[in-house]
Amino acid sequence: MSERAARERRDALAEELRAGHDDRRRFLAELADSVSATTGELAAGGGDDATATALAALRDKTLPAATRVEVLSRLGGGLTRNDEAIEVLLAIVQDSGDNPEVRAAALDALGSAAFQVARFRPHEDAYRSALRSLIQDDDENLREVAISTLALQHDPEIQQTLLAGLRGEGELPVPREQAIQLLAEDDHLDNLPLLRELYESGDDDARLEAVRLMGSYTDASDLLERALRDKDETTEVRRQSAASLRNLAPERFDAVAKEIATDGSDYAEIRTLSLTTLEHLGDADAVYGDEDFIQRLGAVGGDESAPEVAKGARSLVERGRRR
Amino acid sequence: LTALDSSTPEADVAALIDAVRRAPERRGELLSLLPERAPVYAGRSSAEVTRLRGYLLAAFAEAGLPAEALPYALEVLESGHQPYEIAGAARAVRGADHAAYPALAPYLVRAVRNLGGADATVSFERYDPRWPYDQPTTAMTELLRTLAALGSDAAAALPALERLAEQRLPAAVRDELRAVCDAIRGAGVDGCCHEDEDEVAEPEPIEAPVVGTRLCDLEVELEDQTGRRESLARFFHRKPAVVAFFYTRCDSPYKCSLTVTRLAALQALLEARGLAGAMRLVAMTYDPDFDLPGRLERYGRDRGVRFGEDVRFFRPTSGFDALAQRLALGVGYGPSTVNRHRIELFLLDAAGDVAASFTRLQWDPDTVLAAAEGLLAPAA
Repeated sequence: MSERAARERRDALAEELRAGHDDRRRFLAELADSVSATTGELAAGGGDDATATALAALRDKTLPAATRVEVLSRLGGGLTRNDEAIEVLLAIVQDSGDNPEVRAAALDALGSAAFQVARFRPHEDAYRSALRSLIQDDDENLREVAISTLALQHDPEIQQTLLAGLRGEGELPVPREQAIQLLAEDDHLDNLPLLRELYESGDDDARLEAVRLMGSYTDASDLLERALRDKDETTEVRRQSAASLRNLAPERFDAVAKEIATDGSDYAEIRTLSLTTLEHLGDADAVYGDEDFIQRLGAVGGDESAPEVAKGARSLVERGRRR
Repeated sequence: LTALDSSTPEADVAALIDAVRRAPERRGELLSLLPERAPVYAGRSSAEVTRLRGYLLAAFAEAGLPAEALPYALEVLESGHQPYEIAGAARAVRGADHAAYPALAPYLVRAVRNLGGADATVSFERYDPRWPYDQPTTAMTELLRTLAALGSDAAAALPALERLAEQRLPAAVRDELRAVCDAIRGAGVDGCCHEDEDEVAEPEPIEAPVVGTRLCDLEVELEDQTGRRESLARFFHRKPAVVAFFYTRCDSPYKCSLTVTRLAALQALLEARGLAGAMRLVAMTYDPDFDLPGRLERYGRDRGVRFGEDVRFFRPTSGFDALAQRLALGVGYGPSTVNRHRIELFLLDAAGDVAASFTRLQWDPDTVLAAAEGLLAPAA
């Protein structure tokens, strides 16, 4: 970039920053007026304090919900560096009488703030408690966000609630398939029977999730092999089954992949996937040292009715020759 | 309580714990529930095991904590990461004979530090209560209450607690922490000239010793991090060895991950002393079906281990149960993987016999090195 172009770029950025600051100042001034008009809270001073203005607006339930949501979308990032602001947001989230959109925006801001682990540390327990209080909230969106956040943290409270719901011993706060997927985030739980249920009864997406999550359970190898071999199964589920089986039992995957690669009645996409995986990730001795397999690949490589498969077979054989 | 097994409903186990809690003279019965391999834990998820053990530990607050149970409570304070179990251990220590065990405070301070941002609201109002709790507490609150109860016995912890009070904490915790410091000072301590608060005196070992146990007559097949196979008898022969146990899916930052990181530090110490090659460094997985060679290799490498002929990670491919029994390994299994384990490291002599063990509480590389040098000296 020339010096002149660089200068122009700098000037443009500076202008953008200035405009941003002006816009923010205008927004805060208008906000301060709105808050003063309804509560008089800022009239005595602090009106030029962005955080005080924003917090007063967030606390003011008489303001339009859109205004309070806008406060969070414009100022949320900076606001959550303030301990008092976190407390205000926690109160909003747990106030079932407040506007759902404002509560959702507050929950979103808290979720972002929680990523700043060290800064958020003093609020971690209160945040977790707030999320737990939302497990049975009437608002479906808030409920789902809270439940999935807690499940990702392996929170014992949500795990017990979901397990009780799945056993029919309590109300299930999310659909059954989702509950199983959330519990499966913790591979130290007894999830395999639930994942089998998900695979047997779910739709395509649920089956895909089931075989993905089974990749942590060595006892799932039989089902994963069955899914990988199943020509009536969707390509996506078979692909994921291949990945999960390989994760658990690479030797077993190699053996199945060899059979699929040389099975002319199977789908080209799965055969090509098998060949590529064997070529790049398979156990070299088991793949290239298997003379019978390499010989059968010779025929596959000459079969132009499935050109991608043939190409993959020739590539693997050629790599074997170069070893 | 010894008749309990994996088929006993959690609530029934808890009811029996409650019964003993109300009859402290029977507290010795609770000891049978402490070992990781107790039948009551077999096949349960790690979440269930955490709930049961946390509840069990908390019961010792009222029943009184026998000396045999103390290492289990200290282990949780030192290496625990589940708030419920830490809170239970903090309560258990309130039932200990403080006069007989003056070095409890450093374990509590370590637990306070380890908790960091991982504190959570828990409750012991009954077994497995549902949210919102009638009698909420937190692990941090329980730790601080126990420190306050120690009074002047917590004097060594005062400087660490005062420093902690200066950090960013929830307001309620900071207030409680200051009150604890006041309580300790009020118990006759002036806040200066204390012992180093990091100095942790270890309790007497109480579990069955395995020193002298022979391993090389066992038929155990091993596979290392490269996929190479060995028999245990052939490998643990002619050189002393350090053997630590771990598994890659361990979710505690203070157990397996730290064990392997310290093994790497021990390797560096051995090299610095010119002892590389004089002894073997081994880590063996509790989870051999899942911990395939590639996983073993990555786990060690990521934590600073440099593999070589004498530095290897193994997964037993056969004979693991016999090995676990011979070493009395402190590990239990749930439906899919380990549900609970203690920290354990063994020092084997050149004949493959156990010469020393470091179990349950954290070991440090210098101490293990000193013990290992004792094994090397006669040969030199």
